[in-house]
Amino acid sequence: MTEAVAPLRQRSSTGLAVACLLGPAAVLLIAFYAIPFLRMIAESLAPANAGAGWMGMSLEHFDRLASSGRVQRAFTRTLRISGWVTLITLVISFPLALYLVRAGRTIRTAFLIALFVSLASSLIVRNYGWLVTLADAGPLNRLLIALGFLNAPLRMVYSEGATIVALVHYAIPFMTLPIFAALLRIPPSLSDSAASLGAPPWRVIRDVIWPLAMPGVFGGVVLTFALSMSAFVTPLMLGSPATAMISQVAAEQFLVQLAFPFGSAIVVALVLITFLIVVVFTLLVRKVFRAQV
Amino acid sequence: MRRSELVAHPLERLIAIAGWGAMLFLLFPVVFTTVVSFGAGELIEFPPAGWSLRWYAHIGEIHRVGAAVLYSLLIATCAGVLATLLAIGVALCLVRLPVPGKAVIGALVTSPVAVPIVALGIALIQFFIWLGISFTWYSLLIGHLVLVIAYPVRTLVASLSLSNPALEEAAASLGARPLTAFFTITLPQMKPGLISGFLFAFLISFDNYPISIFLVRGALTVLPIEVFNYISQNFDPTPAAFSTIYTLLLALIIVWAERRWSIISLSVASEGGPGGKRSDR
Amino acid sequence: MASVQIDDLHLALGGNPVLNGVSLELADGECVALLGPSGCGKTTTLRALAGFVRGDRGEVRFDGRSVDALPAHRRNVGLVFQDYALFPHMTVAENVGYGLRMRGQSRSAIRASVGEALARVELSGFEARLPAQLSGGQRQRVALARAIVIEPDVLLLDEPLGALDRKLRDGMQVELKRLQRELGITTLIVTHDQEEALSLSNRVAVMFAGRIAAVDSPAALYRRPPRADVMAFLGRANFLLVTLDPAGVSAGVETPMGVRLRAQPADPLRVFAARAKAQLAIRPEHVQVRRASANAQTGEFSASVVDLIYRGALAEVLLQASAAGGPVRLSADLPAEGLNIQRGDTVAVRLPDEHCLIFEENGA
Repeated sequence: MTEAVAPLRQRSSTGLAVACLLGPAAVLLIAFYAIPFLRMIAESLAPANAGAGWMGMSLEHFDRLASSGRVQRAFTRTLRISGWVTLITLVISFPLALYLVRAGRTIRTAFLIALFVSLASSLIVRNYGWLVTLADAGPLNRLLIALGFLNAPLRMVYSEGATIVALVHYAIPFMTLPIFAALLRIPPSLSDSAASLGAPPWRVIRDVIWPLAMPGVFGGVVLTFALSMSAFVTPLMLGSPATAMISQVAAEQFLVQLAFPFGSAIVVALVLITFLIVVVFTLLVRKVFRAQV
Repeated sequence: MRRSELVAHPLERLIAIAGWGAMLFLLFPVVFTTVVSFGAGELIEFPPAGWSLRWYAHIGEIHRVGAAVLYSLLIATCAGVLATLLAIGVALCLVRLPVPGKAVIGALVTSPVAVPIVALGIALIQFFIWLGISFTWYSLLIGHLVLVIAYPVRTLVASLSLSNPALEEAAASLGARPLTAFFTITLPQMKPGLISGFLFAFLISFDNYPISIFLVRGALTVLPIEVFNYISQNFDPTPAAFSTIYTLLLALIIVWAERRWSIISLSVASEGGPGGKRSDR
Repeated sequence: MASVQIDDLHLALGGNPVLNGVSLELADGECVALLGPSGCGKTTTLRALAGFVRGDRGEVRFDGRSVDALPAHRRNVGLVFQDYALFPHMTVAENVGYGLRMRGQSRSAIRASVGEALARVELSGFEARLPAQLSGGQRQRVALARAIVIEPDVLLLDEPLGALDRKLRDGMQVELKRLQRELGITTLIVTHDQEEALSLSNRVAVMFAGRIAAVDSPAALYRRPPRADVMAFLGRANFLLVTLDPAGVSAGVETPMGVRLRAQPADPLRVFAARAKAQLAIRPEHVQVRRASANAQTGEFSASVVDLIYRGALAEVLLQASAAGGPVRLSADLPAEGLNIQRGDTVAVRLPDEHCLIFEENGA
């Protein structure tokens, strides 16, 4: 199978090949992905009373969304949590990726395996790990009491803080691996060059490594942000109803309130807002960092 | 920078400390959970007052755990195999054939990863209700399939991009028909991508909660849901025992897969690194 | 500008000894080529000068003062890498000016110096270009400009011409020589290409297995190499196993082809045992070949032409002569113009005494 331009007779057989190869997947995705989503979008635009609205569409659910204090608070909370998670994860992951590049082969492989196991591990297991760690009788409380910082156990679970910590823990592999991959592509002679020109190690990182790692950093940041915005299981396990994130609110509308159109509207709004933020961020990074992202 | 050459500089030490600190942060919850799983007391406590294996036995007491495990295994295996098979075709098209709109197709196939999974679950349950096939095991399978197909596509595209198309041309010049060339030359080269793609698809499906929670009811259930319910209603360390076994098995599988097929090295080598597994957030 | 002293440098990397006692001195303003095969330790030596590695034993000094304690960014060295290592996200001007930025110069001063440096490498006007927009030769000149604009004590070049094609390489050789002479910076060129070493330097240091084997001017090293392995590495050479006269090496040697020669030992201080075996070396351009005729002259032996390789100005003639202990193979470089010898011909060969060198049987 080559990419050569084929004579007409072969071109039609190429078309047949494409149809066979892509067909099943295309059918699956169109039937059970594109269409359900389109229906959901339609659902969110469906007027409560049939026949009302413009061309059978109405923005009343989005209106309700905008005026619902609960939904607004959930959105703000979600944005705030996502911002914190992305920032903290970046601060942790970038040095980790830097270390991975410098580390010897055994350490690097061991760390990568740990990152992969973390990546592939059950989310419920991982969040449970934080329920244990932050438990009233858990290691963190015991340590703080032993060190004298606390007199009695502090209730740390079922809070926004716990959600943030667990989301950071979840996001670290997603942020570290793209940055690591980008760092690997930087030829070592560039760092040596900068050093020989008089740049101390911190300047080498700032002037040479950070700009060239930008595509990886950008990828990691966008991914982490998107993951946080759509977080569901983690806030469900580690948060409380008072700290609900937007996915939980949407789910609640479906499972509990059975308000399908409203729930659909929330989901559509979430996707739009996340998309918008990512687009604006991409343009910003291109302009400010002159980076190829 | 080669490690053996580094003239020790405070910044390098700082980076090493940060690296190890991050890794410890990553591993501590696992360690603590394991320790807690051997606790004798009725509640989670660290360090445990006494030691016992009772919670491992108690895993069997999780509500409907047997059925949940069976369903999860069934769905995950089917989803993994089907997703990988379908992904072969997609990857071949994207990498080897001149197809118009490659970028669009690629984006479409891998987009389930970027969309809030809750949204997918909600959209699907409405759709299945409308179709009349809701709450069946095969509708659940379809839901998982849509979600996980992105992963084998990604790893297979990476695998294929790294292999040399000239090999297939050489095979053709030696007399191999296209189909034969595919099975004897192309497919073996895709092995790391196939293995890691299947693994990711399987694991994501096995662990998935947000889609499953919308699509199951009644007799149909999966392990993440039962474990989650247990955690919400009980405070003993049984889930810790479950976690320990799960993580141990997973680590063994990944180490074995890396030894055998270098799946980690491959993922890192492909552009931009792996898109990542996302069972949920 | 500074003189450089490398004093008995030992260095092991990952358990493997790479430098086994390297000692070399560069006078202020001198250009020395460090020549050797891959893996001999020449790049490691360069990195030790730059400050990226530190010897386990021995010392590196600039102008007599030890620099071992100085990390790379505090030594005033200019480095040009084989892959040029231009910062892809910076313009030519930003690349060249980077070292000056690190030294805290003002923006206007930097701009002026960058302009000067670019003019020196004949790239004026290229300030705003990105490395991706430059050709290989242009990139190399930017790398050079970047290294010299900081007025380094020492200039270190790692295989500077390796990545260029033939034509560019010849041009750059002239450029580099001119630049080095004009600026008078102490320069070390690391290379495995002996032509590069011979043409660019004041002195050549040949390096094998982590040690300096020989140091001398290019001409002296080529004409009178102190060791057989140095001779073999620098240019081409024929080697024959010969037997020494009982009266000593100055009395002559017996070649396997039966001809007696009076050749000089490469190292006049070397003592050879009587009737010992030794190696006789002669370069192809000194081997004399003429068509076989009836009168054989003294010192000639007969050989057959096995093959002729045309190389433009010269032709390499592969000869085979019968000798005690098996046929002996030699190659001779003869002017191609007017050559009336063909494959299969029988010719008379002569090895002039004054161009033969005697070495010990193994190596040196």
